Amino acid sequence: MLFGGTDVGSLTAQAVILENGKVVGWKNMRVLPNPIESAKKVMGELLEELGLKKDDVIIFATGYGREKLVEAGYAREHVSEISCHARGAFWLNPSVRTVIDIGGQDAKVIRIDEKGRLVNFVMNDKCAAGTGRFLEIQAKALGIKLEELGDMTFIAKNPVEITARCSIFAETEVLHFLQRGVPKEEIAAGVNRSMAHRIYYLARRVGVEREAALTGGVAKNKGVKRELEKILNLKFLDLGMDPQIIGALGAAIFAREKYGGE
Amino acid sequence: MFLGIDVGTRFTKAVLWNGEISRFAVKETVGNMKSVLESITKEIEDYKLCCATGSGAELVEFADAREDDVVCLAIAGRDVVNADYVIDIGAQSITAISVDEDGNVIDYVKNDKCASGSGKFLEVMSSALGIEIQDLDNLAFRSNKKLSITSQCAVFAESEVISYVNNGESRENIIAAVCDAVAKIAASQVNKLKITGRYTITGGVANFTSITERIKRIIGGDYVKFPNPQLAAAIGAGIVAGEL
Repeated sequence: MLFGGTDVGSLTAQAVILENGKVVGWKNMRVLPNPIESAKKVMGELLEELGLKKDDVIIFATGYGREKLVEAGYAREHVSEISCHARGAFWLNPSVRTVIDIGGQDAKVIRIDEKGRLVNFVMNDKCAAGTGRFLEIQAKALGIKLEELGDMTFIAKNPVEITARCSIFAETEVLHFLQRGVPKEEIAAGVNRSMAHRIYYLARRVGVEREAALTGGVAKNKGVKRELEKILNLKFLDLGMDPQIIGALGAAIFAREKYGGE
Repeated sequence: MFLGIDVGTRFTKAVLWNGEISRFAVKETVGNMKSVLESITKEIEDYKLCCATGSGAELVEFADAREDDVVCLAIAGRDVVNADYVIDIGAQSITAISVDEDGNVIDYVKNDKCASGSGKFLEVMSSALGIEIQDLDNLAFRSNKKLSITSQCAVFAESEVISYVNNGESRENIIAAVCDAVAKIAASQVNKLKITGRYTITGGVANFTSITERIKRIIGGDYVKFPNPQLAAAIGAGIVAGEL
């Protein structure tokens, strides 16, 4: 039996398909203006790639527009992002107790128990600081691609200190450093470090257990990951999967658990 | 004659004070601040003593004294318009101050950690809309449909503005929604002080009637207009210089 999950975020959307309890395919793309269309498109393309028909798959939805996808009859059920990230990470690695998920416009720190059940979580979706948007803004100010930002941590010698919490004020600081001729990598490394500090302050509110996983698009920024590992004094567990698809994977797992007859 | 200089994050304001504004200057806080300040003292040289305030007060090396901007705003609010409360919206801060009869600060709340509702917030939204910030009043006045911006974060609010643009909403209606948002944010900041008396609104953002009118509508009560609101802290510094 086939089970699928879709996860629509603020910037990207993902789809995952499970067959006999294994991930047989997944896809990640930029969102369209409408979250319903985003989910349908990313899942549609994945189905096509795998040579499958939509009716072959029981789909669960998470992320933006998840209720509407069920109303529209596209997804069978919907599950919250928090539950899906917890489930997806735990399924990939059952020793995970903390999931730190950093998306385009929010950040979540989720605590789970030894059975993968949700214990507690904290979320920031009110302020761009500590989200992917913060990094996007600073990368743009630096005139570099978002994908280039992370690696600069590893070539910088004296990262600058970004003092502002606010993304907009931090951007002003970045521009001032550039005007003063500070090398881009030193500023970029400061940006990554400042991002890690934001997440640290968020995580402190629920506490972090050492068996932690980093998920979401920002997990692909190696500089932020490294700085966060330093400040939390741990090494993130390897999930062996693209960190951006964990939410969609979690949704597919829920579908399988409910309708898979297991 | 006394010189008050307010070095803000965006603009540097100078006032020559002799019980009223004798002369004033406004320059951008940018580049070499030493030459910016020199250009001010070239324009205004006939002063006895100088007091500096604002986030860049220490840059004014020739100042005879420095005073906190909250103190200066309170003094100016009481002296100029006899206000019990001063609401100041600057480029990067929102401050609400309660002032005693002698112009001393009783209490205050300040947000300078976040761009929410500040002049910078307005700049970000204006630039997303492709309008000049000076045109804000004209445009907001011509709005004919109520839109709303729900995010307090400038970055997320900017996304809302861009969505409205993409949905074909008019600039007039969007900028009016931005003004509503700024007024609401400012009013909620002020709310922490429980305004019971006469209040005034200062800072560069108070130059926009569309914003001050909306704040008045939310807070109600006894409002008094501050003439040249952008100069308020510099006036306060001028008064302080006169008392040295």
